[in-house]
Amino acid sequence: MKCPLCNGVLEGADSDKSESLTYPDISTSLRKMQFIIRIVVFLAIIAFVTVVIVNYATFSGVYWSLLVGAELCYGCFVLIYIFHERRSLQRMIIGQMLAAAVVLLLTDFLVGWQGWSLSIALPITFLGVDVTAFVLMVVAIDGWQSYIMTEIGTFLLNSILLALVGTHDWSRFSMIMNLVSTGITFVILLGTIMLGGKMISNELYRRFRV
Amino acid sequence: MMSRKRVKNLKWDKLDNTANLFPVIAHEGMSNVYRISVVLKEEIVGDLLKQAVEKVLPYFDIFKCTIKKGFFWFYFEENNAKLPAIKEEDTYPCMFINQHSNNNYLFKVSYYKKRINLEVFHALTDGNGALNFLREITYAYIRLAHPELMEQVSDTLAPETSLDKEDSYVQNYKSKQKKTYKTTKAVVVKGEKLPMNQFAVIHGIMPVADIKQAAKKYGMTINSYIVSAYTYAIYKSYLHGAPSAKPITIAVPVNLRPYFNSDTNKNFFVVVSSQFLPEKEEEYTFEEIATIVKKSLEEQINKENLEKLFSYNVSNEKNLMLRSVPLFIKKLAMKYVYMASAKANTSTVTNLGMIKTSEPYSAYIDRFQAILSMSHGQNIKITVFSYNEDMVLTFSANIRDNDIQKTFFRKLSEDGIKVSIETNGVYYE
Repeated sequence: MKCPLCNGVLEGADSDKSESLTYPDISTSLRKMQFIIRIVVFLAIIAFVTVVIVNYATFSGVYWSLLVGAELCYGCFVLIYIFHERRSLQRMIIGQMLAAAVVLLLTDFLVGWQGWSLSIALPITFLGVDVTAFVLMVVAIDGWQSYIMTEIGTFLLNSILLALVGTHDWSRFSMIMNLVSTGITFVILLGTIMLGGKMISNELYRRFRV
Repeated sequence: MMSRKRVKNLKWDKLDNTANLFPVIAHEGMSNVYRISVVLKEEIVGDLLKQAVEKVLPYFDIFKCTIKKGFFWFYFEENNAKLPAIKEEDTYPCMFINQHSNNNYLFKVSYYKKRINLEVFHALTDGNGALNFLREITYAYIRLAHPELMEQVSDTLAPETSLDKEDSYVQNYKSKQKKTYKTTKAVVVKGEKLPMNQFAVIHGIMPVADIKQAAKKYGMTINSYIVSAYTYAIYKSYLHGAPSAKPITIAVPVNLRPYFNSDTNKNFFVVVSSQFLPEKEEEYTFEEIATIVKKSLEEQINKENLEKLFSYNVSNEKNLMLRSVPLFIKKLAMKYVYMASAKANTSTVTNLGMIKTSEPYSAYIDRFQAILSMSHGQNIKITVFSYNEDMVLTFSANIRDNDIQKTFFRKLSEDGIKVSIETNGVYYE
């Protein structure tokens, strides 16, 4: 047995082994999940480089490889953000929603910008998240009031979309989709505030106190 | 008729001034978690420890909470989830506590052989607040392990335990102070880093009487002596006695409670720094270094200066314009300020002082000890804890080289202090 400071041999030691008697033996083992993530990111990079080369060699006016790249990024983001670093359920939902929004906008842009992301895809995405939050509120009971933040966020995002669509020459269908989505998120938010009582007002005070 | 589950309004509280920083800067590589431990004279029984924690936790609101994010500030909210599992120690000390995998709690309790560990995220409280909690857990555990003691003591909290939750920073600050934190870069102790989260711990156990005598020989307090010896060890073993353009700056947290008559369980401390700039070519002696360090600390540790130190930060917190900045912008600013000031310190020495326990529990307790986690720019730190006749001085480091620790303990031995060493085995790997 040796001294941990000077590595000299200790006299009168009971054991030949140099180990701590007061702390458990913790050997450093590779964290499996981190290794899996590195493999996935590595494969995603290889896949992206491959499709870029193929797109370049067979280019016919559409940068479809960038679309594939965006989807690969989304997949890696979900893996790293959602599974690797433990986060609250709300943050996972909001994180996925924002990442999906970016991918949808990019997809619309890359295939010639027809505006379907703003008029259809994003309103449905935000509405879907809001309804999910509402269901989780009903089911969660304990801590249900914290979902008000998701409801406020989705209502604001829908409002911004509605303003964008409203100030441009979009189709009637686009307007209706955005109005319905904004309307539903508004009703859910209003209902939560009016029926939530003191718990909601406390939650709003805590979240927004200056 | 079915009874309806009543969902009550959860209690909440603001973070104190110091606590606001920790959720911003804490991550896997820099946990801002510290550990305080009590070593008993008998092996710990896990089930009894779990019962002890369950018994004591309801009294301590500051531990029975989780952190939530508001639009402008973080805040604490009551946590009614069941306790996370209390199990035998199976990781390195002071690992990052992810509240989402810890039933939303910001502390952990574990045990190993005769030791009970309490690991706390610094946003909750400082060492003194955590000690209150650990002491009550220890008392409750001892009562459970030795039911015969119930004839002598009642099964409640001890009278010396405080449950105060006052934000003493706000209670005692004076408005409109100038900036007080340093940004002059200090010597950074570098070296081959241990793998992430691997942590090297060395405890030096010594008689309080010995170190008191050694400090008296140099005409200084125990704290000044320890800081001087540490500065000396860094100067000799890391700088090899050579001059340096950057000073060796040791951060020394100071408990503010005695100065301001506070009993709070929240954070209430400020950090002063001793600074030693090795300017001359000729090697400094220990006595020269000790004189510089002693003067540096004495100039700063007085009520007026300590008040100035925290008043600046509290004034910022009270400023309406700064308060109105959304949290995501505040976080960026706080991180920037933290990074700028973090490299102003070489290391930290935190002395939790002499701990007292009441009868009949003292007979079952061997000692207390503490471990600090690493922070940006500081790869080695010291914590000091005294109990009865023994002082436990703990080095925690995330670098492989241990020359500084070796030089430090050799200096103590030269001054007649009998030190025995315990480690967590990392330096053997």
